[in-house]
Amino acid sequence: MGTAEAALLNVAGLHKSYSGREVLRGVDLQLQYGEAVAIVGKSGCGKSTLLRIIAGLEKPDRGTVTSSRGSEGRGNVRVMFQDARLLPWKRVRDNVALNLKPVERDRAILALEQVGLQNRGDEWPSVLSGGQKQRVALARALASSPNLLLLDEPLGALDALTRLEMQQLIEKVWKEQQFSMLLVTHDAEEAAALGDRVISLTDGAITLDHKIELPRPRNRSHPDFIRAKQAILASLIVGEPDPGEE
Amino acid sequence: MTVTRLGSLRQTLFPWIVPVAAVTVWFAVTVTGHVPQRILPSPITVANSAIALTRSGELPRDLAVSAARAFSGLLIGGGLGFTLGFITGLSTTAHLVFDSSIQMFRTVPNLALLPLVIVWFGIGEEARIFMISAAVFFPLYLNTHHGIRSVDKGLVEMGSVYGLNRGGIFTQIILPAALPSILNGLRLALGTMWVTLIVAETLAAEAGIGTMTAQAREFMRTDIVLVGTIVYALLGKLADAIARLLERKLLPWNPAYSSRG
Ligand SMILES: Nc1ncnc2c1ncn2[C@@H]1O[C@H](COP(=O)(O)OP(=O)(O)O)[C@@H](O)[C@H]1O
Ligand SMILES: [Mg+2]
Repeated sequence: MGTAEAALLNVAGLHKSYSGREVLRGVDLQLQYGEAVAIVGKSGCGKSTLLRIIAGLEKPDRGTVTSSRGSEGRGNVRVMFQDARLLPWKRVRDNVALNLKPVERDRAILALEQVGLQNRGDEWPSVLSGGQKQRVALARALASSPNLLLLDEPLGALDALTRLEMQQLIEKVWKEQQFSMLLVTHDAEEAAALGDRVISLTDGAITLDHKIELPRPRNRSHPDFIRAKQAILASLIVGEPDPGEE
Repeated sequence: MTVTRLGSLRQTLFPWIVPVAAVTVWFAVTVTGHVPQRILPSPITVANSAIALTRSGELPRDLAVSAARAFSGLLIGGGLGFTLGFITGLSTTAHLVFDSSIQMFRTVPNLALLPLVIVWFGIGEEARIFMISAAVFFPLYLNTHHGIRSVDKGLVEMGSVYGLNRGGIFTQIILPAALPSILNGLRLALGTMWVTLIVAETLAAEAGIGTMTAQAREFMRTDIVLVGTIVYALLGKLADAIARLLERKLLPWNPAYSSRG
């Protein structure tokens, strides 16, 4: 791994247990500048724990998270959660401008434009649909120009069509702003559509690190795409008592 | 358009049906002489007494004394309940130290404190203000405490990921999240405040609406007793209206208060 010094994020030997049960057992991961990495894995395999440690919300038992930029070892990291976590008492625009300095407030307006909600800035979050709320959450993350965006199944609760739109939107803003992103998902197709690399987590360890070198935006009916998707699915089924025919 | 106008007409008119009917019945039974004036004076007599008491300055003075009493109690007891609720809501240590003791005293009915209060303070102004303070303390303590404890942890976590410091998390997340519960506590406190005020004033006082009615009762001036009772009802209604206005002004984002600000 000679690229470790050049990487934006370097995760090494992460271990984490909750009440004696090992959730992460030695996770190593590097993320390059501008790279999009998708993390897949069955529910409960430790994906959120990994993301929360990277975000600094949780401390690992062992191992390190270092970043080549930023004093706290992380640089400018933003997180999108499965629920939008908007503040109900702030209007949409003020939610996006959360913790921006007064002089930076037009960034909030630009970010709302990026997600196509420029004329909803005066509304209360409670009137928005689930998909719109997640767009506002995305705008909030973009407004502070992160160099790393962590996404923990942000589209899991959306209907299929809205999810597809959001995937396209995330890809678009990722290209525009060129941040690195780490996307946790349980959807093999989403991982194959958005990841430069797909990592599969099984029982707290990485079992697959698969580069996807298809042109973007990816054609989901192309045989190469379907093959990539099936490789991801197969990695998810490893360890099951009855793997079936996949 | 017409449907909504009709709807708002309903909203403003219908709550008046019962009071108007009550006064009409009251008028009917008293004017016809079915009920003696000593038991129930007619609405006109009561209105005249109210006017006379206002002209003489007696009613405004008693009203001012009662209101000052009520709000001193609210300020002392409510302020204490609010502050302690905040501290025990934010700090687990303070919660462990104080909460179970406070919860224990909550089960003592307010009026059961009366003998003790008389022993401590006599029947002076301190006793009355103490009674009111004790009564408003609990609703504000409990609701502030509960409001802060039940703040969505996910929002706090989001705030820290987005770089808010402790002060920012407090003012932008915890306080607004707890506000609906705090205002609800205030509304409950205003309710118990009036009840306690009435009891405290009827017991013994030099001035105040309760004293006015207690004295009037001795002279069988039922009309003045009724004036006092109606004033109490109006004060209660006024306090409730203020609490509702505060909710509407401070919580415009809450879908329960559908006003668009
Ligand atoms: N704060 C916590 N306390 C105790 N156990 C936890 C905690 N957070 C996560 N876990 C456990 O760790 C395991 C992995 O959780 P998580 O990382 O959320 O999985 P995933 O996101 O992959 O579904 C689960 O079994 C979960 O119950
Ligand atoms: Mg998870």
